[in-house]
Amino acid sequence: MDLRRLIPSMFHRRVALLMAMFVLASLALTGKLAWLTVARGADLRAEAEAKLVRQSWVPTHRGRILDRKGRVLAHDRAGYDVLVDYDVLSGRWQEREATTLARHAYTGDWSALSDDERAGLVAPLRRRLDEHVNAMWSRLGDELDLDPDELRSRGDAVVDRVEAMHERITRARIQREIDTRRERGLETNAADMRRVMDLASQPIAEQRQSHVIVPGVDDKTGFHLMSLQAKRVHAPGAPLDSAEELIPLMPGLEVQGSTRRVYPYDERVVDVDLSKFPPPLRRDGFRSVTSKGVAWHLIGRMRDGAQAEDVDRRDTALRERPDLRAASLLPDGTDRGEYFDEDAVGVAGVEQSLEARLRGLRGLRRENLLTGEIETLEPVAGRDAHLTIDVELQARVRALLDPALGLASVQPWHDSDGVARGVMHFGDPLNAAAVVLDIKSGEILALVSTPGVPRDADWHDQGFASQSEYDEYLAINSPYVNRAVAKPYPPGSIVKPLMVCGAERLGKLVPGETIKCTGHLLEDRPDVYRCWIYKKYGMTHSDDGHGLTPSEAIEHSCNIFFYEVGRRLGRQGIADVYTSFGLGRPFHLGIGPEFAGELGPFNGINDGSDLESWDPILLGIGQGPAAWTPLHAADAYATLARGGDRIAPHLIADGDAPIVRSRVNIPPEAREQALRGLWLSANDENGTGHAVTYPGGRREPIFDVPGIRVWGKTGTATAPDLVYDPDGEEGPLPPEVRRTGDHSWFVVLAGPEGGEPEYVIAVVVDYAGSGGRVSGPIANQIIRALVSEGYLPSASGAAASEAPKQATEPRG
Amino acid sequence: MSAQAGNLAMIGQLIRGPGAGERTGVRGSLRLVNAAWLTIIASIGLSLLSVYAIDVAETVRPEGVADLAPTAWKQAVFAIVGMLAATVVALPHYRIISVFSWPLMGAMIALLVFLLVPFVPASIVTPRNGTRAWIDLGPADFQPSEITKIAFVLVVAQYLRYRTKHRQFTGLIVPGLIAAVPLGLITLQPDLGTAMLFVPALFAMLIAAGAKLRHLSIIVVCAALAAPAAYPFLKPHQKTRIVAMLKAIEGDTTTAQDINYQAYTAQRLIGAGQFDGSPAPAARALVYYNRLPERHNDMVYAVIVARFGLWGGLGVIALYLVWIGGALLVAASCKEPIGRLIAVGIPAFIAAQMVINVGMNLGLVPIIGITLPFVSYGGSSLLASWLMAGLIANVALHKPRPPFRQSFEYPEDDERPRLGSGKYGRAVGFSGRAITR
Repeated sequence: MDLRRLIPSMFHRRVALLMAMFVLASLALTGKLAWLTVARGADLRAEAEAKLVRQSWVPTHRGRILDRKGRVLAHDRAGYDVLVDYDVLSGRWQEREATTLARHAYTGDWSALSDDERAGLVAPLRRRLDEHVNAMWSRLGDELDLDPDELRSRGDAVVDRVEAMHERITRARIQREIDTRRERGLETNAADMRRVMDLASQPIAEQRQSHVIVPGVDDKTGFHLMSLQAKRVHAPGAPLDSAEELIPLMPGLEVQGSTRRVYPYDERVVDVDLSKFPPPLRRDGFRSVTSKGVAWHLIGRMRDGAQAEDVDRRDTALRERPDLRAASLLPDGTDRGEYFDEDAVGVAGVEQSLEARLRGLRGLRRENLLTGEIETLEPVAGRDAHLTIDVELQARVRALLDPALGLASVQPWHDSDGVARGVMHFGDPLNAAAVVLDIKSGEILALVSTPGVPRDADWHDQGFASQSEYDEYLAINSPYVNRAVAKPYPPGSIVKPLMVCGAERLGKLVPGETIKCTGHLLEDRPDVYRCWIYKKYGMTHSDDGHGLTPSEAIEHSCNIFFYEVGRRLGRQGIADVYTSFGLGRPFHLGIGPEFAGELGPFNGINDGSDLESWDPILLGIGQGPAAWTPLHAADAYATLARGGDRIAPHLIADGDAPIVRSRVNIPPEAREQALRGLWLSANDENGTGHAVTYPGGRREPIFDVPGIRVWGKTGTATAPDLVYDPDGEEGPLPPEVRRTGDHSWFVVLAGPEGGEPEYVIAVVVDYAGSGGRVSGPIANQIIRALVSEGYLPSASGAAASEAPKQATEPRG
Repeated sequence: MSAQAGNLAMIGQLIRGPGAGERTGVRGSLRLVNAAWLTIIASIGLSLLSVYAIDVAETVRPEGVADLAPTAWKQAVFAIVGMLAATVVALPHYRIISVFSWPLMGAMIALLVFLLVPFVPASIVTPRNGTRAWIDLGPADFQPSEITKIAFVLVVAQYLRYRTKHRQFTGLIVPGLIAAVPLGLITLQPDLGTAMLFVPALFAMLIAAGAKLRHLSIIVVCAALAAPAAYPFLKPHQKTRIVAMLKAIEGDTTTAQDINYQAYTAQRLIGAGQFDGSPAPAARALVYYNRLPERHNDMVYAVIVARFGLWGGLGVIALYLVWIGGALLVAASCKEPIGRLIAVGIPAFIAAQMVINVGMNLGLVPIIGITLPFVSYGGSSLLASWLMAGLIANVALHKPRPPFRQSFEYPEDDERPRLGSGKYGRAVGFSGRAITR
């Protein structure tokens, strides 16, 4: 078709062309419009409607942690923090406000004044404002019942800290800028430098915030302070009718709601009855001992602010636990327990291991902004955690291990190698661990490790003069290590009753068999594998010519008997005995790192295959390449007391994992021998765990709690010296031996007179020397604590009232 | 078949006008039945839609409350002012108006320069989003670039009316320079979007005036090839928009929260309209809570589609087709060069703005600040749009006054230059001017 003929006018053809172009463009638009509204309409509508729903999280509460008697060890407490703005703390507000007031009050031309003239007008107002702020501190002090000077110094401390931080950051910023300029090859002249400095010295976030001066005030005070927060008064020097010249009554004051994790039993005062202490420490009456961080190693702590590792841990938990996933995830995959930046997170102990359960799940409030419909998913509060420990008992045991009482500090009658070598001195504090285990249930009643860790205290608060002094303290005392479950100890002689059971089970010891103590195991080598009595007194346990029965060997802790047993058991046999009693198995208590126990090199292989051929001999007496923890010892003795039924010790009463029960085959005759040996050891005149001779020749039995029957075994385990290198391996100073000697063990089975053992108490004191002399008296006092807390019967009604009740009221 | 014939006859009637030659009084000098009514009707339709859409865009409120949003009220007032202005503009013969084209252009250029003068107090020139495009006039702000469009059409029409030079390649230089001055000044504001509108308007007028399509094609191809070289000279925010567009084409949704937020939000709301839109309260809520930026302004098309769906979106496009179609019919029915060019240049501006703005809303064009004529909120924009409608009506109403010469009719659209014919091969004298045919 000839367009020219159809439309003869060229102009009309051109107009038609333009129209066609526009129609084409419109068609393109129509195409996209149709695609969006029709093809993608439903999806896009859903997307757009999703914006009509406003979601907000409803906070949840973290679950409590309770002890076996329902005492609350940790809970969330709502309260208020009192904050003051940084500008007021630093005086910037006063300066600014004084300048403004001076300018307003000046009737002439302010800009014509010289700097000095202005300063002259500002200064008196500044003084008035400083007084005004001081009045605020006094008023705050009155309201909070605190010393105003203390409050002011807290404010000053904030300023010091923030200014130091600002200076550091400024310096780092300048350095970074200079480095960048240098990398780019830029010349830096004075003007550039000034600009860089200006930029670098810009205020940091902390200089624009308010800072907590008094945390956690109660509701009433919080509300009252809030009402003061809004009050305005006339500024000094301003005309009374001027509405503009009002300043806050409490400049910079802010009151913020806050939820705090509170640990009511963290600090305890225990009154200890000194009249029942070993003679040199014996006094009339009670002594109050304040312990901080009583169950710190068990409960753990919280950190404000979630970190990447917390998010990872949550993700792992969600992946591995379908139940948690089902409860936590919303249909769109959002995790109701997701970590937000400001969340508090459990970072140690039960707070960490039960984080997912304690944490709870947020609620969700969905409001449809179009219809006004509100749909609420209630928050799920965190589930409480019940522990098997008795926090009062825990506090008592903890108090007994306080070096101030003298039981856990170096004493003349301890026979300390450290003192003999001049490394340690009388009165030096000793670090220790103690475990109390209920035999019937496998529940841990108390689990203490000293030195403790005071909650929320830094080295400064703990009385250290410097960071390096604190570092040295940490290196030598490792307070953060839970000695009861995480520190490897050589078992020492406490394994001897276990050897009897194992050897009879494996047929290496025939019932009724006796072994003679020859002083030294190898006939021609009197210098190795000696019995302690031979080493010390040149005697043997069989000087009368009789062989020792297993129970006599336990009573006397005869080494020759158990060297022989170890030799007979051989590598596999000895490994079998150790592992059957729990060595090599961690407990998964949920309170942090644990040491599983090791035989031979620390390689996780505990079947004896990596032992040297002579190792079993030493292992027979608990020396040589073996290590475990006080809880292992308590567990093994509990198994022995139960006649071979093993109930895995546990600390979380309502844990998600079932309690592991297993069976160790202990011939009844062997159990009989072992228990008899333990009884003799603690009760017979010749038992190693029977009595201690104190300075002045006074000899007293270790165990003296009336009405309580005690089976026990001492252990004096050779330990490697603790060496500290003050300037590190690289430094010129030689390493120094700071602790030396033997670890002192005592494991006790205790029950009512005439009954079966009911509790195991395992005590170990680091580098303390003889088991009987150091750990024995501690174990005895723990038995007393068990009586006081009602776990063991007291001989008379009077005994029960010995411990005053007010002694155990929570403090703080 | 007969209906079609009837339609053709009607279009013919519209183009030719009722019987030429009878000139008895004012009545006789006017063509009251003309295609500009299509344009006027479309303008009224779009203005009404505008007031409603702005109200939807601006307020979330329960149904039954019949109070218009303040901005919608303002827009309604501007629409009425615009109609009055259009009436005023439609009355005098466009030849008289065209006499003032150069002075008007001069005044507009002066204002555009004034906008760029530094140190003009912010109370007079208030930059918005960093653009110095508005002069504060108290109750309303005045945007000189809007009126510059009209001045530009008049000036180019005035320039091209009797010339044939633009049929040569070099003859395109002067029209190009005429466009370059306002384009440059508006680019400096910086308002690249508005500035770019002058290009399609100029091209449309050149096409209508008979410039050779070959020459224009060469320019378009060269510009397209040179465009990437201009990229480094763009401002950062302009680069971002182009990057955003490319990301959107790639289907990269990660940009939905930043550089493509506006584009994606508009498309989401358009899609949400589906076939027949949403009831008013739902549409209001959707627009509000999706936080569509510039929703009463550049993005008002998305609001209309969210409210009325596909049919609403098509309706808007259809109204523009009627508007442009009406204007071009006016051009076709006009026999006199200046009227023809006015009736081509003006719809070119409107069409270009509409295509770019709707394209922006639909995600076909990068987000540049181009308003939707008649519909987007804004006094200057609405006034300028109505003035344009008024001018179309003017051209349609007034029969050409003799002496006039039907122009832009060349035997060949793109004939090859004949050797030896010379520039003035066949000169026809008229009013002292040589016209080459």
